[in-house]
Amino acid sequence: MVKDKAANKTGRIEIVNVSKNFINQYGEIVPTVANVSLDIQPGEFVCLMGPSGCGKTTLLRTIAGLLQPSSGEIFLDGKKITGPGPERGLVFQDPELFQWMDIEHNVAFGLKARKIYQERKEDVQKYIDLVGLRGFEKAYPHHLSGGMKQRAAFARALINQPKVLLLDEPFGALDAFTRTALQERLLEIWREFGMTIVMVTHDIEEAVFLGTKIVVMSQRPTTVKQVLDDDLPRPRDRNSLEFVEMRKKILSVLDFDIFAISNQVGDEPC
Amino acid sequence: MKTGKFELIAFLPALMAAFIVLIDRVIPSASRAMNIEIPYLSYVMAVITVVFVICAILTLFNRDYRIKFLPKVKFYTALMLLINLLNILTDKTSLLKSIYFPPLNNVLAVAVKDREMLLNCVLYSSRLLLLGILFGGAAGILTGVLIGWYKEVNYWVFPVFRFIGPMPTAIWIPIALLAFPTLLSASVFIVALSMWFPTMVQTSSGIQNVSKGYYDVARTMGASTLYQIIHIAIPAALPQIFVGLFSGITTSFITLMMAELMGSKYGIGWYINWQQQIMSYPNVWMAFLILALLCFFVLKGLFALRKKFLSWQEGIIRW
Repeated sequence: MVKDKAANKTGRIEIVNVSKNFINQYGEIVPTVANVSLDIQPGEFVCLMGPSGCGKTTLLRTIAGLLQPSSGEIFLDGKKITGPGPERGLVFQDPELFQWMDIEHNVAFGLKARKIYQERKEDVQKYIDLVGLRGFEKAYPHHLSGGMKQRAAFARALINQPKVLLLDEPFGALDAFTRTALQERLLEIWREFGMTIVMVTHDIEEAVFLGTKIVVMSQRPTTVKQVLDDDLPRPRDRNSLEFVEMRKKILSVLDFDIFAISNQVGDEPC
Repeated sequence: MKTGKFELIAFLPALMAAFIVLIDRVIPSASRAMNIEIPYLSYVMAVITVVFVICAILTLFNRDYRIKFLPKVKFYTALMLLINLLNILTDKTSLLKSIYFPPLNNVLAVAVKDREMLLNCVLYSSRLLLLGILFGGAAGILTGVLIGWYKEVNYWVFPVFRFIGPMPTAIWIPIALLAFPTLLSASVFIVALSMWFPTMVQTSSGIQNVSKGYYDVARTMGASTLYQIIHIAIPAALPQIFVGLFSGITTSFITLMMAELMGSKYGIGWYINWQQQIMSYPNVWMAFLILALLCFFVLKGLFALRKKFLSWQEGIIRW
């Protein structure tokens, strides 16, 4: 397998005092992310949690470079992030596979876009195998199940050998069985490649099961409420006492205000 | 009617075609004044009968062909009945006014008598249409992509295009004649214009409707703007681009008549106009038939292209 040893030492993300405001249709400023600072070490698995619509996704998209911070800076290995780049792979809840391309072409997209396809042709099959989609190379996305589509989306991001993998609720739309299977697979891939992972999730159990750090964020405009270290021994048992206690702890930090949340439903920024 | 088994109704179109020949031979013509010695209709229908018989026999042996042919049996049968009815209403009984609705036989006779002129007209019109569709289609896709992709272009240019597009072709004729050096280029411009507008509208709206997520994915993978246009925007908008091309081609056939009014020497549209003026309706009908066939084959070509480029859509939408 393609093992990128160097990735173990690179992939540090420094978020320095980042704020992000949006301007609504009336020209008013809507603050969404407020003064967030985080230092994410190489190889960490950070889960971002917070109320719906609080601005987690905005923060993630700012790390991806798809959005520019209104103030503050984000550095990847000491280099300021000014735009999107292949060293930061992104997987959304919706797989967004190019539906006019078969799986092989979808996975090869990044290589072709950067004109390095000729040198790395063989990798396409390797990454299709990595996510367990061998035999579906010629299939079109609409022929695949939701879980398989998400696997393909992971292969398409991973083939660019990102130092940082940014995940926006990647398992949110999947059924429970598929979700558990893909969580396990993601852990294996993370251990093998050692990249940094930042993942937005609404599922406390998922966060406790996967993360090394859980960042709990506040209502919009979002700030970091608390950073919890999740150093439960692996493999983690979802039914163990420590696991359940960790869940409780996060829940208490989240401090759900039911009415505040219901006001925000479906109000995900951008 | 999708069936794997052979069915006797496969012979129905052949039977109906043979029935036309029978009626045509047995019942004498009512319109003696317009009578033509040679029974072209019987000849043509005899050939069609033979073709249908061969088709029906093929369904006996070839399973794939059977699946293709059997669903069309109803349509072919109805078509044959319609021809039979028309023949009875015109040639056999003169129930329809024979000046405007000449016997089918007379219409077919035009194809033989006037074949050289008609062939020239078809060639002339085909050249005009081909050039018009190519230039208009290319311009439509290009301007559509620019309008769909760049907000600034959309803001400044689209309102102007929206004003220009629906203007009747007749308005353009004097402008085209002034602006273009030759009659051909002026006519091509007129046809291209009517091809361009629907193509442009559909292309731009197709591009604007592409999911933003695709571009986010592409940008994080290092795709340049041009790469995103060529490999994401256009393929994702292609289903709608084809809708634009389809309606563009249909409108350009309508515009053909106008374009050939500007002093052409040949052309199906020009021929129709000329024959209409001298009240020679068999010729008008024959020319209409040829124009319809021409349009049919051009659209058939477009559908073949669509099948080639949009095969990925099979399974998502109903074809």
